[in-house]
Amino acid sequence: MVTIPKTQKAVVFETNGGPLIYKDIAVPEPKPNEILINVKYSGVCHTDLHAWKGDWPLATKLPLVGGHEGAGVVVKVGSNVTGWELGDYAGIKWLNGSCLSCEFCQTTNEPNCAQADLSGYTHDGSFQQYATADAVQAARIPKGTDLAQIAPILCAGVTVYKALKTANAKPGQWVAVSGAGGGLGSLAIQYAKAMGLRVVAIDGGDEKGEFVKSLGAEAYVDFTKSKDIVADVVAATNGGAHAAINVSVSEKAIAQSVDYVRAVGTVVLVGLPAGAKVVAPVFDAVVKSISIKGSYVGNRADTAEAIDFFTRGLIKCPIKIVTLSELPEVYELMEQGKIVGRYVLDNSK
Amino acid sequence: MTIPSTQKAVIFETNGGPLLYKDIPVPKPKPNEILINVKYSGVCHTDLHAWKGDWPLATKLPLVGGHEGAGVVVALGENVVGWEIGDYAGVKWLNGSCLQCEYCVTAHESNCPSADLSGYTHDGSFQEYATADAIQAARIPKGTDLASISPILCAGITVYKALKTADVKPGQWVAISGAAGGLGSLAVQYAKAMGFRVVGIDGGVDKGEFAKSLGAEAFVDFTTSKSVVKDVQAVTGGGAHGVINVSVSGGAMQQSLEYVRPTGTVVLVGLPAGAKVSASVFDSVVRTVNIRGSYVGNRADTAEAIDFFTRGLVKCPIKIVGLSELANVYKLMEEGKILGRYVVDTSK
Repeated sequence: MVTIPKTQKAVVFETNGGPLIYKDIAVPEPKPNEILINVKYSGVCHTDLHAWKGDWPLATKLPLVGGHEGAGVVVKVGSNVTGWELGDYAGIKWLNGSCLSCEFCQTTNEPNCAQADLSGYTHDGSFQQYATADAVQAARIPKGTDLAQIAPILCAGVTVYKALKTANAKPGQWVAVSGAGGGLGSLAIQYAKAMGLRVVAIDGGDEKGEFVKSLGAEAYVDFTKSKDIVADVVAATNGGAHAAINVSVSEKAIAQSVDYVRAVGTVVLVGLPAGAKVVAPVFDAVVKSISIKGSYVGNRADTAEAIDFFTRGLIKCPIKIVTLSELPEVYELMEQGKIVGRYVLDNSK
Repeated sequence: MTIPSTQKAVIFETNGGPLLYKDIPVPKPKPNEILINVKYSGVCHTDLHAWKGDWPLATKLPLVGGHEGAGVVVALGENVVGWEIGDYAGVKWLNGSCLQCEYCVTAHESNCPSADLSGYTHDGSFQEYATADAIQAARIPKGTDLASISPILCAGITVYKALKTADVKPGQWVAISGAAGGLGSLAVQYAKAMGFRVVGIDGGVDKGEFAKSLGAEAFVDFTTSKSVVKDVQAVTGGGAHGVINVSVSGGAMQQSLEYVRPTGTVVLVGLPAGAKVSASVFDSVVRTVNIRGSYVGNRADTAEAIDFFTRGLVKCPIKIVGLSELANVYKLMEEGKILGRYVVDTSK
């Protein structure tokens, strides 16, 4: 039997944009339908920055413990929970819980549930040592998994994997990953390769170029050097990408993807720059017969599949491990666009 | 069968210039073409765009417009197989394609970069005798009412394909924006035949009566509604699972992004000149919405769309006028006064 302390370390904020406070808070009690996870590691997602800043058209709870890529060990189960045991490895993802009764929950579109409870947004998340999670939604992680390595899979991995399914590209076809050097992009390249797709990576600078090629991108278009990104992507893919995965934070990059996607192809929207719009000229959209699809995290099946690719060794997220107390510094680097791969917090420090 | 050497046609020399009802030569079919004695032709809004030249795609000039031509095969090019004199055939938008590119080989013939377009790059159906590539010409069952089937050849195929593209399941809601127009009225019927529930959106009491007579369960009148978005959401219990945009209003298309259900699909079909839809990336992602362009249909879509017509499930209310009156039809079209479809009788 594991001893669960009464207090724990967490990063909390009281107001959006206000100070990020590394402090002691109470360890939460799991509800009857929840498990309590001793979160060992948590990835840091750009969404967490948006949650702190409060710049999305969706209100956060306040005060809030952010974070939704938490990987850890089950230390307590609520009285109604079945299917989980103490010592199981579990993950906290964006969707903490959903109603399981509405039309969206019934058709595997759980993240679209109108009653969705969101980790690190409406439900205290993974930037703490002990976090609660709805037992139905909590991700199942194989025992013995390297918890630091799997943390980014829980949001970034699941999200890009679902986006690639949404893209509807077939093995042998070209997918453009826009923002290929970032946390999501670097995973997207690897999932795409595992799914048999050919990858043209788009990002900025030589370092990111080396990085994306090392992960399997066949071609790289550098937006800091290219005279015409659209033309370069069309040339690299011999006519345009069959699909484009937008995992950058650039509205302009999204607009370009509408131009370099192949006729009959699919543009997938994943990244969420505040206030960004995608403009589709109706004539071109019709005559080229393109699709523009929003893709949003993934359901439980997507989660299990995305984790399985990782477990089979096909996906590695290059991570830098820092301490939970250093979260503010991570946000700073994120705002400056200086993150290659993913930062993961060690919650014990 | 005697084929005359001249025929009546409506032709124009410059975009926006006069529409001339005159005698022109009867064309000779190429080795891969058939010659169709076009009895009737529907008039599509695209034909108006072709005449005006307001699309980002150049027409041939001079041009005989029209791409909903239904008629009888009177001559065969020497390489043609599978057609006989006397067969009923249709001239549709895609007159011919290369049959070798990645689009042609994956049933996306309309997206062929070498596409030849009837009434745009290839003289079309506003004449009594028109040529058509034997592969793409639509097969019409002998004995079919050629006036009634002509609008199916573009409008019917196009909305049928759009409904497939919307990915709606039987029992779910589809909103038809522009429900009383040439395409809209067909969309309502195809949607019913496919088992969908229909909410029609258009302007005015007449159009509402019309849409409901075709099977729309509900009608939202944009001339009287305080909020089209709220009304559609109310009728559909949360938003339409699919939206077919067959109006000529960019604003209506933009609005459809708001009343589509989460995880639903907005289909763009109509082509108002210069229109754009601007979608909030955040909303599109969090609501997991799809926006898809749908463009005519391939040969399989054509055969299927015609089959629904042949089985009596789709009827296009038509007004038949003489080919010589085409200019007047364009005028009514520009004024938004067309209910259903105008069909020209090429013999008058």
